[in-house]
Amino acid sequence: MSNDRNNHLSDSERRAMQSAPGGTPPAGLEDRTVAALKSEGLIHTRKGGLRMKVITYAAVAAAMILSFVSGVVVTKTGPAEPSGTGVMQAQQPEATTPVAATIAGANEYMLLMIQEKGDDAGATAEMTPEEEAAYAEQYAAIVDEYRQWALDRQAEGRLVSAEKLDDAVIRLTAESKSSTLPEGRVLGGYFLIRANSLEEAEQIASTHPHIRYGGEVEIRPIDHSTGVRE
Amino acid sequence: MAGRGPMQPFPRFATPTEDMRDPQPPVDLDDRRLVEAYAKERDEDSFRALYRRHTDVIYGVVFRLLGEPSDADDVVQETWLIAARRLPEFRWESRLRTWLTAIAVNCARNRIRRRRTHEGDGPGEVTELPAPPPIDHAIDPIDMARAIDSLPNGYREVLVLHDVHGHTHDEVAEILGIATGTSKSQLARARGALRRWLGRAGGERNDVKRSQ
Repeated sequence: MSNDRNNHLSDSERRAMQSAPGGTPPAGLEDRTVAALKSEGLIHTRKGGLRMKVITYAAVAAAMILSFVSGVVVTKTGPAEPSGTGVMQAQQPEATTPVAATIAGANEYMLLMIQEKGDDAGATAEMTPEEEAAYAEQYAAIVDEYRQWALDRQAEGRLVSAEKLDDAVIRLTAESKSSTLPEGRVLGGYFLIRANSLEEAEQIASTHPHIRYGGEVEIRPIDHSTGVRE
Repeated sequence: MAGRGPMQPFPRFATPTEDMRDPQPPVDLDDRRLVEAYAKERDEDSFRALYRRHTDVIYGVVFRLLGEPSDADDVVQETWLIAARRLPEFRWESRLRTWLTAIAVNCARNRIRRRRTHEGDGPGEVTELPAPPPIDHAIDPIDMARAIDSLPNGYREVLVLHDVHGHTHDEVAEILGIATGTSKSQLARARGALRRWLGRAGGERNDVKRSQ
């Protein structure tokens, strides 16, 4: 009996083992694990800083306003003035950027920026002056992060358009009309980006700070099969 | 976090699996820094960094050990809870990942014991069957996953740690609390059981009589 001769894996066996399905942790597991540790006192929550719950709807909305402001938008003819309403100008990708070359003729995906419209009032009311200063500093950093993400996508030529949605709302059904935002999930704005696949769009969306700060990004492919556009 | 996709393809080696390590194991110095920071301040950032360095791999191990249904999420969370409690006393006698994997394997074992109340841990056979040769034809990865799931717990642990995740026999021994020699003999038996299962499954699929 020569068992030693069989004492190794074949290439087929190895390949099948490596590609056996499953085994990627879901995106929410990290936050759930952190929450579990916090509830047992194994992670100390930061004092005076912005935690996910403390960031109010208003703060995130303000951050998104500034991310949708174009700043200086460079076109082929030179810097353009930001438009008065803070609308980002749609740009044709420059052929010279490395990303632009990969997304010429790519699909379009909608990134819907969603968050909970929670309780706004008095986030800073109970803070000490030191806590408030730390809060203001981190708030400014968050706004920068949101804006930088938008500018980066624009520089890559990925950004088709982006808008912040105002809070003024009319919700209309056959039975009713409402002028208030719903409790729960609220749409704050959108980005329309270019990507080659839903997976690529997901990868891009996952880098948006909105997710880390407690928001949600809904990714939807544009269905051109019935579109009005050429 | 190191890549979220399926495991990367391995280069071919002439000799067996000692060289099949998980790609880019984290530098131990970084682990030490993070563990110290976390143990001192219990701060969130250090914990998240540790989580991101090790969870992909640990989740993979746990997922393969549990089979269906998968409580891998719960087990991984449980693992980090236990690890977080014990990290201040971690003595660096082994690599951090080895230590984490040991905790994860134990949690997975407990989970399995609770649900499969009538399955034993040891091998089913009493007599030593001749070892089937390695399988050379293409294997459907789903069949492989089922085959691994069908193994008795002890065999599955050794096979997943050594063959799927590239741990050495010394590391497997440390993780499972067994002797290195035991790891080697268990692995040989595990591979044999795996091949017998795949042979039966393949035979049923192809409607061909088993050749052995």
